[in-house]
Amino acid sequence: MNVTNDDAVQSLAQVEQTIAKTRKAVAAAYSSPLLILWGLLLAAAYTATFLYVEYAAVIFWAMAVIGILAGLVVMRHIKRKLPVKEPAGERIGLRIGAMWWSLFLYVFIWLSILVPLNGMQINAFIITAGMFGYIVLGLWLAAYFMVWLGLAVTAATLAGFFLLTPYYCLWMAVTTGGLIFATGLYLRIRWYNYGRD
Amino acid sequence: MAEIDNIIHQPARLQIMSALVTLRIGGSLDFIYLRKLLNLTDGNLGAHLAKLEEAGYVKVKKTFVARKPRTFIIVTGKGRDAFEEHIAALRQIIGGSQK
Repeated sequence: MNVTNDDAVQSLAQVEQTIAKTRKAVAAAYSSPLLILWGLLLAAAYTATFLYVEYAAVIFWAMAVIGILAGLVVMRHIKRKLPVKEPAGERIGLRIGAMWWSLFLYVFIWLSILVPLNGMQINAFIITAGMFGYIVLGLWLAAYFMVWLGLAVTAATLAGFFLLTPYYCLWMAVTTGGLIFATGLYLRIRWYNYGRD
Repeated sequence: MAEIDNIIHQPARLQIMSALVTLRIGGSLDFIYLRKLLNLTDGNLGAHLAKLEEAGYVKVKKTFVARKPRTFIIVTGKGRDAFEEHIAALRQIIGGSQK
């Protein structure tokens, strides 16, 4: 078969394009439902805290329990519907789960060392520590949207903490909840369906 | 010296193989999803898969998920090797013409 230089260049470009498209579609298949879920939960929890600040601890504990349980149900449901089956994916999933649990454990250890802290400090600390985990995971998996999302939420948290203190919860509902939800939706619509940017 | 693989070189089959080798070893993609992702028709994808299957590059697995029939496509070890050799051959052509 006679393949010209132009043919070869075109074919390699097509290969790269398809690989990028497939990687995005696979990443979105796994992460978009969870991002949508957690974005909505965070937005609801921050809005509720802004309105009933005295119940902040109860609201966030309830959000964490609902989020973990709903996340497990969603993962179980989407696992059956996923268009991708990867035997190695389950092992990686377990390692990712272990990473999150150890990060949460360390957050609790640090929080007990750092007491006394006010509610806003605790919240900003948990969110930025969670986003640190997100950035590390993004770098590890070469899923760079996670790195950008982690940096954007961290920046929004710091801006709310230092510059918009009286409206911190409302600001976080829109930025943190909104950014996570919007990323999940974007991945679902663009990456999952078509592998597009 | 790597050689061009005539079966893989066809544009639609090159896309199919590229999508499948992106997955980790043992990973498979749903037929309908692959069709949508690559913007191919049912018949077109089916025909190209038949060619790839005949060459031993892919396996088609029919299964039931929640009582609904699903078809998953998996690339074989032979398919991965052939794809890698084909890519190496394409790179050689480009490299050769640049010398």
